[in-house]
Amino acid sequence: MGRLSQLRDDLKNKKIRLTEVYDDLIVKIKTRNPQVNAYLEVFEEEMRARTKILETEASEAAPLAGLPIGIKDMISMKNHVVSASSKILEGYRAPRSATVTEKLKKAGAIFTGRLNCDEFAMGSSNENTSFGAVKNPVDLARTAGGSSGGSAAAVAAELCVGSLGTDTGGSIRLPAAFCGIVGMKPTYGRVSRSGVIAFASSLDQVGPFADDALDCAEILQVIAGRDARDSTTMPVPVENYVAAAKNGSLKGLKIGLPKEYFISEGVSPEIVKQTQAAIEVFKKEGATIKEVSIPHTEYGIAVYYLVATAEAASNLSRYDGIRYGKRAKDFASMKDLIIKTRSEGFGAEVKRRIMLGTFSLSSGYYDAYYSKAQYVRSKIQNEFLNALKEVDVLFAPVTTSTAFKIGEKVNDPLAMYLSDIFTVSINLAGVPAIAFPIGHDSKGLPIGGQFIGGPFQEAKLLAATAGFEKAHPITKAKLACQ
Amino acid sequence: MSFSVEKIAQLAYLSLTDDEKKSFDTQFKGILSYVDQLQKVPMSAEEAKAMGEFHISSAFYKQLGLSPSITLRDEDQMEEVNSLTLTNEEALSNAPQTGGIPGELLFEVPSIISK
Repeated sequence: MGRLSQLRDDLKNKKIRLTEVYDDLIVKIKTRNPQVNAYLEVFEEEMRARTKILETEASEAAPLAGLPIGIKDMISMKNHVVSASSKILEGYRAPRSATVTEKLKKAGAIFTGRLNCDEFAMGSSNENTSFGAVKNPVDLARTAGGSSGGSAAAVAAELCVGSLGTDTGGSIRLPAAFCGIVGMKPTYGRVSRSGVIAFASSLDQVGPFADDALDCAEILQVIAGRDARDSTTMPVPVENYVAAAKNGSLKGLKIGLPKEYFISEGVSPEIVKQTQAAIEVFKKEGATIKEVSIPHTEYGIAVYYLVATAEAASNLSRYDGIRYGKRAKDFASMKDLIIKTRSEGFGAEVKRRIMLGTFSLSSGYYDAYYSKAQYVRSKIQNEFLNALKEVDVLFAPVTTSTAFKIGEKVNDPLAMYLSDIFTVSINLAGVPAIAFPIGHDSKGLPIGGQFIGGPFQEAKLLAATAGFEKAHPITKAKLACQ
Repeated sequence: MSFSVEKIAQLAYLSLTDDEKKSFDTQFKGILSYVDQLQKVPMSAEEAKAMGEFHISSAFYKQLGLSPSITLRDEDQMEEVNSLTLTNEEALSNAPQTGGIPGELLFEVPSIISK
């Protein structure tokens, strides 16, 4: 059983007291966080205060009552600092909560703290942060993945029972795969982005990290739904994700394998081996396999790094030192103030992406780059939707390698971008996907696989994942942190 | 394809150090040569124009048989959205510099129009 569901049961059956849980948790965070650097800020006082309140006001109706959940530093909580892991927003306090944190709070969740991430969610390794890289709890010399590295590491290192991250090009699924836990990117429009710092508005989605499919389902159940504050959320009823996970099975499931994702060039042989092993498990459990094709997959990264950066250039133009955030100290004019503020406040990767996006939208290049990228994007979306009409879910690897060493790819941005080859097209299409553990490599590093579904098919994804977990439980990797 | 790191930086309101200019220049050459593979995909002028209207959710509305006009908010939703105002204090709570009086705080900035 995942720790979220286990803790909830234990609290309900009075096997453990809420204050004991948090006393132990706070000690664990103090011991382990210096090693993994998952938390930027720990809400110790707040945790203690809320446990006192919840212990006396036990509300059994609240589905996540008393459960410790971590929040990525891109998602607002009223009166708390939210900084996108960026110097430009250092000290910025959210005047209002994001819809997702409001919902979690109403469901009784207790926020443990703010989780480290790549600056403005731009990165695949959680190294693009002025607050230090997040270390993989399984091997502290390696990255936890990004951009939601802190959110993944905190769950893997048992510093919360679940967390929220955001996924724009793989930023939930890749760290989930690197850290050996489950992470899900819902359909674009399933979860509200109100109060979430925008990176690429047509790609961003908030999603849960947890030990297993059922725990993820518990979180998704609370955060999903139409929101009047975010008109990109769609009027689609929220299914019973918890039931789907509880009753999940691979039997009779039609699983599509997009052939463009089953390549060996540039992919670690151990990942190829484990994905094949997972497919054997599907067959053994009574699923049927079908080969499908997403022909424009090869252009995914190129499309992503034009569309996402264009949207980012637009979204990050608001950081000008005028209304909030850092303001440069010496400036000769208004224009100079803005230029200095941005140049001092943004890190290198953020600047790179803003510039790439600005270029792709600039006069004379717009058609060749941005329009063309959107066009190929629409093709990729069509191909996913068509492939998914023939099957229940698709299955594919998540990463080309297991967690790489810290510093290994920092000086080669293109190599870093190519880590996202199996994840970005899903964001471009807007469809949902879930990353889950399928094995380990010879060093004991986690390997993840992903199920990809049709629009608003999160229940199917959770059911398939739960089915795999039941059929082929993966032993959790031994943690390197004490 | 010409790409001037300096010109783009200007458009993006960024000023780069000489080191940054050099490293970005090299990195961009690599990245742009990579994204140039999109030139292999043919696209007509009409198709290019149609991309101005592209929205990721349109295909979902179509597939699920939902009308996008449902996004027009109903009265309850409008009330909810209208209730999300910030007080003057809240709105300026993160301002680097303020002027004016409490309740009527203003963002203080360098002069835009010279005397």
